[in-house]
Order: sequence, then structure tokens, then C-alpha cells
Amino acid sequence: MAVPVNPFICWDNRFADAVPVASSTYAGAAANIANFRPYTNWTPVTLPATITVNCGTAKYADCLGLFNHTLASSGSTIQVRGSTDNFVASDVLVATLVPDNNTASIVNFTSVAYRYWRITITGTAVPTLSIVALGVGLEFPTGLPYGFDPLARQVFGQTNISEQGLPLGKVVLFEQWKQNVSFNFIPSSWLRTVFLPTWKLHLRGKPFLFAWDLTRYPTEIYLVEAGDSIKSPQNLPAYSTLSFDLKGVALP
Amino acid sequence: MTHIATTPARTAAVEAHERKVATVVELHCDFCQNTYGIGPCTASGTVGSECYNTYFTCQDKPNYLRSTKITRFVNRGVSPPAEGIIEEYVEDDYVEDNYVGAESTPLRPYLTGTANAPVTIDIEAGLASRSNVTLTLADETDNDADSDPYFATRLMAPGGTYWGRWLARNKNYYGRVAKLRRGFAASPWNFDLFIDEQYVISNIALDSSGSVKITLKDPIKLADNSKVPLPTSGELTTVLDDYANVGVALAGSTATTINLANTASAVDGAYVGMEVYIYADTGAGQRRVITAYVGATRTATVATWSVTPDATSAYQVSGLQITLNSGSGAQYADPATSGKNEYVRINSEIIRYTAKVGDVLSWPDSTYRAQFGTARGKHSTTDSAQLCRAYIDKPVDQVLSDLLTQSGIAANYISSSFAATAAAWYGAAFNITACLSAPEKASDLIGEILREIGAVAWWSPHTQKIEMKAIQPEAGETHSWGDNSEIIFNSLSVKIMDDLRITQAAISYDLRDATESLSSSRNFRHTDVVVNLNAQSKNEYGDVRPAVITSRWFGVANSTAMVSAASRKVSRLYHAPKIFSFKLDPKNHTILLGSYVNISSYKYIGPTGTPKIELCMITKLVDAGTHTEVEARSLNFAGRYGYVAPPGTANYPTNTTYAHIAGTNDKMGNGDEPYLTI
Repeated sequence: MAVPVNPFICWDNRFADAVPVASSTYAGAAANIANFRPYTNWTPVTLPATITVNCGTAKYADCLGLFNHTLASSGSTIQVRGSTDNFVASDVLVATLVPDNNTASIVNFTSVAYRYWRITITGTAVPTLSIVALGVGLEFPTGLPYGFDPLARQVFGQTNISEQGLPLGKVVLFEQWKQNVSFNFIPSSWLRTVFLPTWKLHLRGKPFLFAWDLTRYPTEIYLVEAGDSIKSPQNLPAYSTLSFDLKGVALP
Repeated sequence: MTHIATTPARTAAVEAHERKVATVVELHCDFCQNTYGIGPCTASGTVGSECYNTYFTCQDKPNYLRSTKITRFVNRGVSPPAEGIIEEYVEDDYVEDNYVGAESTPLRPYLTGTANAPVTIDIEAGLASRSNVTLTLADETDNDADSDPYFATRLMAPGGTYWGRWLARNKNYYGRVAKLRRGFAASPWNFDLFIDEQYVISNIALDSSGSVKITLKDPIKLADNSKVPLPTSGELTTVLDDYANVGVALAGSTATTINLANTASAVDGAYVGMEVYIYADTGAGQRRVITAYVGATRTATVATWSVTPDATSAYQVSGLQITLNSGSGAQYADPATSGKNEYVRINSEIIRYTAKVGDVLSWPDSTYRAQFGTARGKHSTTDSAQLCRAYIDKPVDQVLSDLLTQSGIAANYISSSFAATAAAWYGAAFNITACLSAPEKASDLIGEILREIGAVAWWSPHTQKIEMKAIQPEAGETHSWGDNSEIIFNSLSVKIMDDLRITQAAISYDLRDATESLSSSRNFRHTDVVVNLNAQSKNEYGDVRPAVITSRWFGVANSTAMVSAASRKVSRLYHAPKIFSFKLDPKNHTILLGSYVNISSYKYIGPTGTPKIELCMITKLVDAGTHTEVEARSLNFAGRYGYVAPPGTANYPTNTTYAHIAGTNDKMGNGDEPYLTI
């Protein structure tokens, strides 16, 4: 499937539909991969390893997002698989991803619904995963306008100089990636039927993965939280300008 | 030891121009090693109703098996390692339990603020102020997967928030170890880049804003809450007179008897177990225990006299034991097991007892009464007997260590610097003979001794020990901090503490009565006064500022030491001490609290206008992450000091640390001022 050309949000997660079950656990818990917290994690005992979730009914997914993991450094491959019978007779490979960095990856695939979803990890060295989001992604109808500065970042810290004015050192607390994203000419119907429900369901209160250009910059994926407000003034009778704030930690 | 223990990795990190700081908080709290329902645990609740492996949620308390689980938090903004923190733990020096093997724990970025009221060494107070660290942490809903060992079997999702649940499951956090680990974030995560500060947890509370406040204290805080000696509640059940009978013996005593005066009791057996002591005339100096007594004839039977008493022998009969109310004997130390002299105070008399059997305290002869300058008294039934804490010719470090351990502070928290300082600066001349006859705050007692000997003690978060130091010059390299490459711009201020300057010191010692007032100089037999006439002269300060010290700890045997202590104080406070307050870049946060440093700055200059180098002690050290806040106090050592060089030391001036006796003209061979012998 073609990579999304417009900004993309990975927020939905089948692994949050029910308590996921791991084939084995060395550290953490399988449920930790679903909570969008980069500091809680799951590590299996051996490979291959799986995490399976029973969604109760067939539910759709069309993308897999990963954040803060060691799949690349451990040389692991991750597969997305679906099943109608908890992988007894039905076991369908939906997507395969071989991450090339440990920070963040998003892969999208043709939307399909299964009651049972699974990730299978193969390789030799055991990896650790913090965030695995397998669900329906949100692609914006348009790209970001010119002027958007994806590399803007701000250092929070302190520069120390001596009483004589000589440089002593700089202490960096963290680097923040903070953006106001603004989309011109968003269909007002899309705003009402797609964006606003997603906003209410997840974006306004929980972290999510934001990729501003997966086609050209597939590694520039940020774990962000949205600001408290969105603005969507009408531009034309059927179009609006949508803007809101995003805040996260800059990529290393 | 003056450097904070570090690693090559950390040394390299602080030398880098840019560093990304991180602060990790570790809570070392109790955790049961058992698995629910699996032997030895016999709990048998239904699936989903398991405990949380903490004592207060335990369903089989008799088989609870305490170990320690570490929970970690990091300041916000730090990218947590994907793999969590995996460390191998072995038995910790400071807790009695083993940690549970290898652990992988998440590094939760909850830490939003650190307010540090740090240890502050006060040379005039002796014992440093106790540190108080307040941490602010965020709270949040959490899936409980990392906190609940039986998360997978719970029938419903956890309610509440992370901290709400944590507090409900870990009520017994008070006094458990907490570590503040300050260092640098790196990928992969590396705790070698951190230096650790150790405290104990004092309080954890949710505040109105939904945050959590964790209060950490240093272990010396325990000495604020404890009394030495411990209060005891024993009361006499029989009378103990100053003398049961005093008189002149009647004629007719034999080699194994003495006929007491007619004033003696007419009751048979009245004096059995008591002592008869002949204090004058025939047989004077002999004392015997009465084994039988016939009231009608006033005849007491004793072991064979060396000199048989006659009608001139003046005697005293005294009791040799007290019986306390039933069951209270357990509160009193047993000399047979304590390995030291034990004393009780009854009213205003201190008595040494040498044996304890049940509720009976006894002593072999009447010389054990009226100890530490007290007088024999008449004691009635229901008079209370307070256990004392006494020290007989004990080195100062041993007394200080005893006071600390009596406060409940583990012995392994006490640094070897106590013994080293005592050996180097005090020795037998400062040995203590004293008796504490009423419960007093332990930290006050410790501070009192330190002030009198001119020393300080403090909790060092970095060495994780209570350290001690004499306010005296020390051998070895002294670090230097200056305007050029250490002190941060616009951070230095100098405060002159003129109110601390003195021109003379009077020290009163050799306590007359250990139960009387300690503030009245009349209760002390000796007073020595050291005067700095130069300071009092019109051309210098022209005022008289006396310091008056009364010491219950030292006696006539310490006379030389007392003069020395007073002299050192007068010398040290000849000129007003200075407090230097400034900030350092993290690269210079390498020196331990309590170390000596040379400070020079254009904000503190000599008469010629050039920076004056001031030898100071670091009295406060706060790692604020982006910088380190420092307070240092000038030491005001007058003149030059040196040490008698050990064999093999290089000759002056190759080695300038050690003293070489001045030549003629009171000058060194090269014309320098001579060293002083102190």
C-alpha cells in the first residue's frame, strides 16, 4: 500500500481493546505496549515471541506504529497477523516491518478487520518494546502549508559562564519539539465526521504519534500531546482552516 | 577523602561542554519475595483477589518474606530507555535484606520538582542541620501492569491513580531508603554517569493539586527524635536509706561478728544483705556483707574481719540493692551483657549497679553509691529510678558513635572519619568521663560535644555516612575555585559574620554533681580562660567579646585539652569568619561537602587590590542540575600550621605540608614565617 503523502496520526490501538497476552514475558507486561507511555515496556523471554489480543468482534486496522524500542539494534523483524479463530486455523500475515532505527516507525497496510490481532517478533536477540499502536490511522486530507518548520526545536537548559566571562559549560535539560500545525482548506465534512470524533476519543487527552511527512521523512515521527484547543474557522462554504498545537520531545 | 566518588564515564561526561542532566529518584521499599499461594505462602484467595506482595496487602502475614523492591522516577524531559533499567542488586549495606536479583524497572518521568534544604555544616553548632529534600512527582492513571504482580489475573481494571494505589499498598515506607541519583542522560542508559545521594523516606502525601510530595530526610534526623538515656519507669518498692544505721559498735564483737549500737534495728534479719563499713578507729576501712542479724542482741554476722572491731569502731550500715516494681527490670541494662558500667539515678543520687536479677539491681559495696559527684540520699518507695548512660575514660569518637547508635542510627552509617579524627586531633587527652542522668535529645548531646572540642559532624549524602572533622588544618592537596574557570558569573557573594568574632574564651569543666545545673559555672570545679590581648587592644578591635563554655563531658584529667580547645577557638574566631556563597558549573561538582577549598575572587580582595585566597570549608552543596550551589566558610587559621613529618618525608621546601622547625630569628631557612605547633 502507498505510504501516506499527507501528515499522519497513529493513535488507534487494537491492543488497548482488551488485555493483550504475550507468549512470554521477561520484563514489564504486554499491556504496557498499548498505553502510549514510552517508559513502560515489555520484553519477551525468547524469540519468536507474540502478543495477541482478542478484540471481541472483528475490528479494523490499517497501520502499525512503533515508538521507543530495540527492534533495530536487536535485528528483529515484526509481523502483523490477523485471525478469525485465535490462530488455530486462520493465521494471515498482514504486514511485515524491519525497523531501521530504535526510535519510531510507522507502516501502513490495506485496511482489514479481524477479531484476533497479533504481532510476531522474530530474530535472535530479544528486543524491548514500549509503544506498539496497531489500528486505524488518521491521514489529513491536505499537506502542511509552506512555512511549516519541522526541525524547530527549543533547548531547555542553562549556559554557564564564569565570573570572568569564560564559557564553563552548557546543561541541557531537554529539547522540545513544539509546533502549531495549521491545515488550509480542510473539508468541513471531514472535520466533523473524522477529525472531531478522533479528537474527542483520543487526541485531546492522550499521546499519539505524529508524522508530518512519511513519504520523504519517514523517521521524523514524534510522540506528542495536543494543546487544549483547536481552531477551525470556515474558509469557504465547504472548507475550513484547522489548527492546533503539538508538543513533544525532539528526536535525538 | 575529599572527592565525590566517581567513574571514568562520569568524569568524561562532566568534562564535556554540553551535558544532558537527569535526576533519578529511587524508593527502596518492602516487597514480599513469595508468590501468592505458592509455598511458603499459604494464602488461598480466589483468582483475581491476590495480594500486592506488600505487608499491608498480605493475606498470610506469618509467612511474609520481606525483601526490597526499587521503584524509579526520572525528571520530565528525559527520554527513558526502551529497555527500562536493569541492574543487578546485591545486599545493601544499609538494609538488612537482600534485594531481589536482577530487576528491570521502568523509569517513570514523574519527577517535576526538587526542593532541597540541604545539610548545612555550622562550625559553631557542631552538628550540621539535617537535610530535607522535597520532591514533587506527577500522578497519573496507569495500567498497573508494572506494579501489580498479579495484574494478569485481575478480573477488572485497576481504579484510582498510580500514587493512590502505591500509598494504599505501601503504608510502611517511613524510614526506608531513598536515593537521589544525579547525573547525565545517555543512550544506552548508564548509571556510571550518576552520583548518588542517600536519604530515608520521611513522608509521602498527595497534595491538593494532584501531585505527590515526597519528603526525604537524612538519618541524623533520628537523633532529633530520640533521647539518651531512654526514659525508664522503674520505682523503688523498698526504702533505700543513705545509711540504714550509723553508730559505734558495742563491745563483744568477734572475728565474724559485730555488735551494732542500740540504735540499730531490733528486728531479726533487718540488715541481711547489707554492708557494714567501719569508717573510723579500730578496724577502720574494713567493709563486710552482713549474712545474719539478731535483733535482740544487735549482732551482725559477717565474713572474718582482718581486725576485729571493738567498742571504738565507728560503722555505717548501707543497703546494697534496690528492688523495682514488678516487671520494670527489663528496662534496665544488665552489666553482665552490656559490657560496661551501668548506673541509675534515684532522686539526686547516682548509683552504679553491677548485677541485675529480675527487678533487683545490686552492687557489691557502698562505694558504688553517690557516683559522679552526687551525695547519698534517702530514697523512699515509689521514688523513680532512671537508667543513666555513662562513659568512663572513653575516646570522643566512641562517645559520639554511642550517642548516634543509641538514637537508632545503624553503626555502618558512621564513617571511619570519627575514629580517624579522634586519633589525629584529640587522643586520650580528650577522653570523656561523664554520666547522663536524665533523658536528653541525642542530637543536642552530640552537638554539645562537637562544639566543645571544635569539630563538626554531618550527614554526607555522597559518602552515605555521617562524617566528622576537626576544625583544624589538614595535610594534603587543597582544591582551588576562582573567578576564571569555576565560579559562575554574578553568583558570588561574601558575608562577613562579625557577630561570631571573639577575643577570649572561658571554659568551665570538671562537673561537681552530674544531677545539678549544667549552665551554672558554680557546678564546675575548674575554669580556664584564654585571652587574645592583641584583639582586645585599642589598636585592633578594641572590644572584649567573651565566649563562655561549660562542659559536663570533661574533667580535671582533660585540663590540657580544655586549654587547647579554648585556644583554638580564640584563634579561629580572632577575625570575623566569612561565608562565600556562589554557584559552580557541574564540571566542578566533584568535591565533597566538608572539604577544604581555596577560594579567590575579585569580589574579595586584599589591601593591594588583588584577589585574596581564603581557605574555606564547604558547608553547603546543592546539586541543582544546571549548576551547583555552594556555601563555604572561611576557616581563619591564624599563622601557618604544619605537621611533624613521618619518616621518609622529603625535606623542605620540596614538601611544604609538614613542619620543619624554624631556625634562628623565628624564621624558616628561606625567610618564611615559621609553622606553629598546635
